Amino acid sequence: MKVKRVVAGVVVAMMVSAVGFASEVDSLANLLAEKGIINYGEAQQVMTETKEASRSLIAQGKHDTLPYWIQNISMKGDLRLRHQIDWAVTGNTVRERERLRLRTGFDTRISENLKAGFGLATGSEKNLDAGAVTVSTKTGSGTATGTTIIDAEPTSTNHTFGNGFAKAMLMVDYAYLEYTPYSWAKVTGGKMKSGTQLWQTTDLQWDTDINPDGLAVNFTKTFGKVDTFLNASYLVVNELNSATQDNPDMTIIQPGASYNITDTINAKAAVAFEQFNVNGKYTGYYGTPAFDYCITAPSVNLAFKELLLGYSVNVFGDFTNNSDSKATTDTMGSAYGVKVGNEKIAGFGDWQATYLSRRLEANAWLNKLGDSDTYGGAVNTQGMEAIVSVGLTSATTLIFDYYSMDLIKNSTSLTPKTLLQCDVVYKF
Amino acid sequence: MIKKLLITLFTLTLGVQVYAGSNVVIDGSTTVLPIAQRAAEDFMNAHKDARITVRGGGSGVGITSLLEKTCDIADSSRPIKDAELQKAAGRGISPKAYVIAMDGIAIIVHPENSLANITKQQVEDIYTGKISNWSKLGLKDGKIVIVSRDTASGTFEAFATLALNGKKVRADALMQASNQAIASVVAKTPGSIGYIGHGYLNSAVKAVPVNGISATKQTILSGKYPYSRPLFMYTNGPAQGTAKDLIDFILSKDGQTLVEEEGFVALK
Repeated sequence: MKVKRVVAGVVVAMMVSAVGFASEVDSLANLLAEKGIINYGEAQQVMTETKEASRSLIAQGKHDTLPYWIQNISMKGDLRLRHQIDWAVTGNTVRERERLRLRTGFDTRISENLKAGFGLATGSEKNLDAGAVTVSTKTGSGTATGTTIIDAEPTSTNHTFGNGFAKAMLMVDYAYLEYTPYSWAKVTGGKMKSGTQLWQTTDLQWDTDINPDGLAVNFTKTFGKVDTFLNASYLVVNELNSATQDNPDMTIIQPGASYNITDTINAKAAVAFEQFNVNGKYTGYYGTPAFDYCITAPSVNLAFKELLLGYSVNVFGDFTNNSDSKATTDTMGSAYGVKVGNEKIAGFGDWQATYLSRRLEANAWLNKLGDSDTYGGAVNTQGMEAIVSVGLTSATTLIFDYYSMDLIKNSTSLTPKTLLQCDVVYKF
Repeated sequence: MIKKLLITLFTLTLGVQVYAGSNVVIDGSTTVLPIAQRAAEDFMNAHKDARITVRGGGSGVGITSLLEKTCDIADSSRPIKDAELQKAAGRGISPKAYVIAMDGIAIIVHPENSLANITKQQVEDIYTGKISNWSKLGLKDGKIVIVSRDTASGTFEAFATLALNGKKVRADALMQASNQAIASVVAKTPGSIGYIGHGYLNSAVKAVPVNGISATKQTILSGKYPYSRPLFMYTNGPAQGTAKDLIDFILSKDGQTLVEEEGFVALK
């Protein structure tokens, strides 16, 4: 017992005097065990409990030997390299682009229940060189000119290679304050991460690159086997410089629930009510809305673990209906599909395959707010998406994403758009 | 008057402490569950005023309960995750880890099997179906009969984590309800392979070294044996009251004896 106390004393001394104490503690404990001063079980206790105590102290920002700000900041990010092929309108013009996306995110805890998060990502608000830079692109019969390769969208995080090795722009992707007064309630304000404002299974309505601005409140409560949630948010679409009109904005409220039917089957469902206030107040990237969208959007996800040869199967769908009185036709939208494969891609050989059918009628939703790869996120479109993801390492994934989209209605002719994205994504 | 009030408050405070300390809720890992249940029974037999409730559900459930303050002790077969530590810090909770035992899973074959060593990769490949014949391991041609614990067991969970990297056991494996049943099937079935807790090893089966390291108490305690891991009990700050007494009991000689009786490796 005396020896153990001495060891504990040495350990505590090392904890307060060196950053890399854990490995030194391991060495000391192993040495003492090898010499028979303590047994291997006690050595294991000392090593493991010391390491755990150190991790806990760092998480609380109380570690003596590390600066406070280091202990309170966590960082993550990813780098995506993409080769993208767009088969253009006529079907014989091929546009090929090399693109990258770099994202880094930081979380910092300000106090016990208040934290701040911010992220930087590649992107560009405006198409700076549109119309100024042109290059030749390969076609079926030779070359053609007139295709601008410097492309940017205000909500995209892609950087397209071009313009003589131009450097990529880095922008603020999100920045928010998050207050958690209770374990069941969370308030987020600022430019918040996609998905904070509501839960949905696809990007039919919201491109996952869109990190909306505003205020969101998320409540969760468990009743027996049912986990319930309520998401509510107020989002700012634009500032309107007008003394007579309020600013264009939107409000969302979404109740939902998740239920574990068995140990391997989970059902999750929610209904979002989304109200835009944009008619006559907004003209910009999302066009000129003809009415205030009044949306009812149910979402469903059924998850089966180990259903098919030990692989997981997810069946999911989002549906949307605009009931604004001015929108009388083409007010519906849906995206539904199935995902099969490993539950998570955690290493080499893990895989997932997803098939998704989409349809978004002309008056169903705000133009260009949905997935920007599906006809530029435009409404009045329908088609399919197929994704195959394969793990290369625990942090690297190879992804093939294929879209085949077309207009639903057109006054002259339908104009199909098809594209293939080949991605390598590395998470850090 | 003030003195009486202070005495009353002091008595009430003591009363609250006794009440709070005597009722302990344990939640978490199904692997640690048998240790916690046995320890709780023995402890309550020796301390008639103590009330200990033990629940399973998994390590994640236990840690979540600790963060929600709905349990006093969280059983866990893995270290607490960084994200969980961050949540804990955000809620003013200081998880304190106690290592209460070591888990070591031995790979066993029929005693007449000449296999002298097996690699971690080979174990994974056999149990996930990539290798189905002993000839792939340099032995005589013959189908490998896979024997496994049923999926509800903590040993299965541990094996899936330590040996299979979370991958699924092949569908035609013979699923058994206990460690003893696995040992019994392997002892009677030439060409079979199984896994059991170190405490269930017996002379009727042959334990195979993994990556050249035999499953002994020392290699498991030191963490050198590939399929070994510490088992934890977490409390909010240093354990106090009955929770501390219970953990002290588990770490005592008697407590560690029941750890071995449940098939795990005692720390002492």
